[in-house]
Amino acid sequence: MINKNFKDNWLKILRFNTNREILEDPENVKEYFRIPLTPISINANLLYQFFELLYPKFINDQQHILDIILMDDDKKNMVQNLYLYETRKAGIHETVKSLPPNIIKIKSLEPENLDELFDKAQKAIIKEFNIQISSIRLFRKETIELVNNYCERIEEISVYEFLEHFLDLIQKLINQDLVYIYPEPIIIKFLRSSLVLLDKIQLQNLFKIIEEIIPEFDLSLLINASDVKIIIHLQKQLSKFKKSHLAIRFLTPPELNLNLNNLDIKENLNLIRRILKTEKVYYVNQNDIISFISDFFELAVPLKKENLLFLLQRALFGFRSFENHWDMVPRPKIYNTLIRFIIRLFGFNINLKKLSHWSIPYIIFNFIDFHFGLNSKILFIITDQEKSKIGRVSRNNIFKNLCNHIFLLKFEESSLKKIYTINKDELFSDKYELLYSIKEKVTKKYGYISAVIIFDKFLLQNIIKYFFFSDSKFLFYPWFKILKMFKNEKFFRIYPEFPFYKLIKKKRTITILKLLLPLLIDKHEF
Amino acid sequence: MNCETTFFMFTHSKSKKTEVVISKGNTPKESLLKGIEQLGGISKFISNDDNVFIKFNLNLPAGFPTNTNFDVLEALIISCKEAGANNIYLGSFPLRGIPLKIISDLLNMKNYFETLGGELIFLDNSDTLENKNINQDQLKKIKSESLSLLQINENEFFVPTIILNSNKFISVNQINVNPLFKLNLSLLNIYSIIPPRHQVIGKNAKENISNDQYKKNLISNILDVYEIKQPHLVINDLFYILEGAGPYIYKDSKIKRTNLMIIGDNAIAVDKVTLNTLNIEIESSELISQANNRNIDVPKLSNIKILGEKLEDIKTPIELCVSELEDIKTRSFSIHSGNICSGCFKQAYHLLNFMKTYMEKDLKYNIDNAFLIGENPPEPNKANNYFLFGDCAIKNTKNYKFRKIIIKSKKDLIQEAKKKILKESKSKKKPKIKEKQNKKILELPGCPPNFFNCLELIIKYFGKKNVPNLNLLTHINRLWIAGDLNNKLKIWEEL
Repeated sequence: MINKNFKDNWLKILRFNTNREILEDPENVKEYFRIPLTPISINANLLYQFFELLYPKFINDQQHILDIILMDDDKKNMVQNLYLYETRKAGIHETVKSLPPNIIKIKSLEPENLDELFDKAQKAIIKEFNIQISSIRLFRKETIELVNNYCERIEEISVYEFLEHFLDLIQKLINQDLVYIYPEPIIIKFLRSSLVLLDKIQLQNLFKIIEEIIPEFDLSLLINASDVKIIIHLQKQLSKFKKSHLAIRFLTPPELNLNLNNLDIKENLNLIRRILKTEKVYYVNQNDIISFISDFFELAVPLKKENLLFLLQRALFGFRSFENHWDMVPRPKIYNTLIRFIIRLFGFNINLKKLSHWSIPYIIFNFIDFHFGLNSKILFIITDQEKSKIGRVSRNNIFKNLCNHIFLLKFEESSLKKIYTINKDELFSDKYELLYSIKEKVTKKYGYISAVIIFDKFLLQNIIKYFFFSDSKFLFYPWFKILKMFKNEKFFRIYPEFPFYKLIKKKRTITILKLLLPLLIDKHEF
Repeated sequence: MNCETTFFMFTHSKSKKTEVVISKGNTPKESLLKGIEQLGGISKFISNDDNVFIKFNLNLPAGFPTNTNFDVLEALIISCKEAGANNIYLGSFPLRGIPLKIISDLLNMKNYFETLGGELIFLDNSDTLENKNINQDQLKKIKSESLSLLQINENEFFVPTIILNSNKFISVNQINVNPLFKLNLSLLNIYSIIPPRHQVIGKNAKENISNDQYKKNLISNILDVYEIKQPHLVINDLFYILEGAGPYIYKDSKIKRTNLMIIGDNAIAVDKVTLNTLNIEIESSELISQANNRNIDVPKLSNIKILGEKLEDIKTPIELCVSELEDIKTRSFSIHSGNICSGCFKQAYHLLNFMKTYMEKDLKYNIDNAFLIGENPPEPNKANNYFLFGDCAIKNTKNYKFRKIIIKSKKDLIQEAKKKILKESKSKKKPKIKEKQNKKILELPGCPPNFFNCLELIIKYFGKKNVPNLNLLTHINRLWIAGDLNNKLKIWEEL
């Protein structure tokens, strides 16, 4: 029996979806549901639009779905329950019919023969109901138990807790083969291969690391499409005790009494900024986002260099298309023509609209290939210098105590094949640990290590803050600050030091900037 | 040598086939250990208290597969130790102008081998060159102590004494494609036991381009060096092969996994089996065919006993390097080759591949370049810039049309207009034609030109702003190929 809260919410959604067509003004509906499996409440019509848009793109773009709930393997027929969703539009679940389980017989579940099972189910449903299903979703008995446990306190938990639990649920469902969808959607394929790549790394831990690195923010996002406009309000705040508080709200313009039919995007964004009182408001096109995410999920894992290169080129192209494919208010100073002109007089050409999206990925990957080779192992250590500031670290074993996370990345044939996580205690045994001895210890266990790279959390936070959130009042400051931090051993270290890093350390920041900017920015202003 | 020994060797070689093993494993280490085991175990090659010298590929301070796979070296060092070897030395001469000390520091090799129980030998004495107080006489003494002069077939070679004195000599060779010899065979790996300066082919040899005397002399030298000290164990590592463009990592390079290793005690036999495995005709290898003409033990393929995998089952065709420079397809470049010697071909191959890989933006900024190389290259069409690569191209194109540009004097438009208004007859004066020296020519002298000098000349010709990629790269290069250590290495080489 599925969790009551989950079931009630799901039935409400189905009811709304069935009746939506007869509603007079669905855009102004004041009904709210929870997004299934989340504590996030959302306007009913917006949820409908999400399903309409995302389900066909990422799961299945055909009509009618059959859910099969399975019992243990040793039964004569594993089928416990059958639920048929007749969908007039792909992805829009409207009615659900419980079917007698004996119309399909499954003696054992063989994941490699799901096509046969699908044919069998399709024939049975056509025979009984004259409906051609396009997809089957199989859930084991344990899946229901796991989902029930997960849903127990779902309405009460914070967004942070939800993300942690949700990623854990996904990992368990895939690793323990508790869910199958046939035909298998690209998103499941991607997740399955990514989990192999991540080895024993828990997704929830990975989320914690990423969350730690992202600085505080308060922003809203206007996602625009021809028929629908969605406003997402995102917040991250840190409490006095450095505890993270995340918030996410999905809104529609009518909910905020906004009329966004004005063609001036900046004006619309300013309006949202005023009402939601956020620091920044971004504008993005729905199709651009969907196409990028879709390309991301289509990435074959292990990640091949060519695919990553292409994706990075696309991401950089997106970044340089400011005021074309995306926009934001307040307008970052870096785009001010007069300021750029004055700075150019001093010999610095910073025009992010001329970012060399086509050449930067080549430069990066060629450097990596040359220095680390096509097969390599690189040890990444993330430290947290802040710990020493607030006196949480004992002077003994200081490096060990500052060290937050350790990863070993294994590249083979120019592809990222595996990411291992390494326990601190494996690396640090002596009081005064040198980088060389750390490398030696990892080498003994995993083979020759090409390099040990140490990033401090503060450096990573600053990179995101300045370059992704454009969070600076001064044009030059971020570039100088980041380069200076790279020179400082407290925030960045690489062992052995390869020539490019030696150059960064040896030369003045201005000289490095003068060397790098022509590589990052195209020369011609046409 | 007495008659009895000769008779024994004759009957022995006749009765016993040369053994070569083709081993396959899931990891390079597994392939290596399995192969050695199939040959009779490491103790067949290494005895108690042996001093072993392992010659591996060490070209540049770069990652795998530019250099030998360190995991393979690790497994081999441990095996030698287990067999009771007293000292395990490892070494190689890198490319010319690059001190071994710099590569060792960048790859952290010295410490790495020490922890395994081996010792990296600085064959170029670059570890002692760091000492600021060292003078020329001391340098000379160090060099004479570490290198021995040997004469083979009327040629003189300096060979590291430590290699000559070692009881056992092992070659561990990473198989990559090679522009001159199709593959980096173990014979080429063994050739770099002599200092890079002595690997250079003399000028008189290059003058006879039509029969490629350069390559002939190079092959002769390679075989001479092979005769000096033949390895006791030869490992051709083709677990991963760099194909397409090689032997260094370029844009067109691809890595191919075969899971194979070919091991034996005769370098030529191992090379022959390697060629065969990779579907390359043995007869097409000039190195092997020249070895046949010498008094070297060159076993026929039919006389090689192949252990492990069956040759027919594991044949793997690979994509070799281009044989024509025109096929490198470097952006904004049209290549015009005349008769080229192998020396110039090799350098131009590396330069063009380097530009294609690391100068993407520079080539986009500087379009329409003609690259002329060799004796009597074809006259290029009109181009923005002309690159003359090597002494031959510079010398032979002195009278080419592109050397001069023709400038027609501009019409005096005002005078023409006046005459039209006054309805005067048109002047019959022909526009003046002037011939000027074309300054858009970049000469890259040398026979063959030095790679790093070429880069410096290119940046000087175009200007820093027009070649941002190369500008950064030369700044980086200057850090490791133009320091005090490098200057001392040059002095050391000249002594």
